[in-house]
Amino acid sequence: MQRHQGIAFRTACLIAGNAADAEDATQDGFVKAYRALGRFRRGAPFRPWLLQIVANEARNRRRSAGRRAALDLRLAGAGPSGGAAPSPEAATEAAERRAELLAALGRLREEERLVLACRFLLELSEEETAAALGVRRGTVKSRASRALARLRADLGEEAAHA
Amino acid sequence: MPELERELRDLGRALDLPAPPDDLAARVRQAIAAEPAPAAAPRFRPRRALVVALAVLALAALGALAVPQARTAILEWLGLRGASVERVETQPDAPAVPDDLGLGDLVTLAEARDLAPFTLVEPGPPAPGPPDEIRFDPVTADGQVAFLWLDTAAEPELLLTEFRAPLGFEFVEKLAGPGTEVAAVEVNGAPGIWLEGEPHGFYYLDAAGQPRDETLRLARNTLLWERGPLTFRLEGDLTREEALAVARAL
Repeated sequence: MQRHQGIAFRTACLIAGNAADAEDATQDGFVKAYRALGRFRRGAPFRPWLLQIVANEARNRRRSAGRRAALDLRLAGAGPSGGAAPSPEAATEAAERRAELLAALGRLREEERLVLACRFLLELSEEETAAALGVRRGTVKSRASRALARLRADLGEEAAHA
Repeated sequence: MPELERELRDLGRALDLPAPPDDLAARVRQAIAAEPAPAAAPRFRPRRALVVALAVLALAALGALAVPQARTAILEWLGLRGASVERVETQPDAPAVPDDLGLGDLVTLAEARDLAPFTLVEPGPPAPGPPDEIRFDPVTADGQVAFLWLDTAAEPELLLTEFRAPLGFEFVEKLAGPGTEVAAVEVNGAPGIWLEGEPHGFYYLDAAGQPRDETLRLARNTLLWERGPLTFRLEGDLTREEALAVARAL
């Protein structure tokens, strides 16, 4: 659970749109999961099941609050360290690229932004993403590829990598 | 992974995403305890420590329906050791009980009063006369006093233990296998648990939040109840009514 609470909470954050609702959603989701353990299908993977319950709580909160999900995603002060230290120029360039990506994500439609956020930012599997967003796995695939295409177009991919 | 996907993943790792609150597990515990699980069906509104115990027992009772891994994960996260769950599913071999039952040093009643960091509740009728042995165990939480009555063959017949539920005491869990009947009871208005049938272990969380594994003692019917800051445990060849009579007279 210690392992799962971080990912469950971050998923709730993305869906609910703010940390306070995400906290409530995670807490209530875990209580519900605890109560529902008897109905958990033997042999099924645990994480998608848990994410589904927590994400559902987060979605309900966002709906009842009538807010759009607008999580204020911030870049951490320093980029990921490890490996050879990049040159200052390269580091600046990478940071700019991330900011650009983040802005482009923000311009996507919500359902497309969420599918990319789950799949890539949170690194959830297709199955977990489907569970969290309450859609079929096929929908995750098609929505993600459409969203990626839109993101590429927005970023002017060819120009960015000229 | 194609370039853009990889970049998104790197972006995710560079994001300053909020972390879950540190007290999430505690909040979930409280929420679970605040509302009794339907399966436990207590007839009164017990305080939360026992409610949780009942909820946990209700889960344990699901037996074949339950999912060991998931349940173990949740119980572990809630602060209940996963091993306890395993033992529920395969009724444990009774651990060896030391000759003195692991109850600590033999003391006089006066010494027990001095040693216990709480006001000792001394058993009277209908308990069978003065106890044959009084023992004090300083290791358990902040001390546990045991009153022991022996039968004619000098074998333990009845055991009453008292200890103070330390600050942060949240769970009392009896491990019950399929052969153990578990019932919510009431002792002078306070919640209690009655366990009858096959042997069971005894677990609780100490002040440091660590689960403590109490040694199996007499492995007989057990009544567990709370009063004020104290937790009492009565074990012996008693019926439920007999045990309740002793408990209510304390």
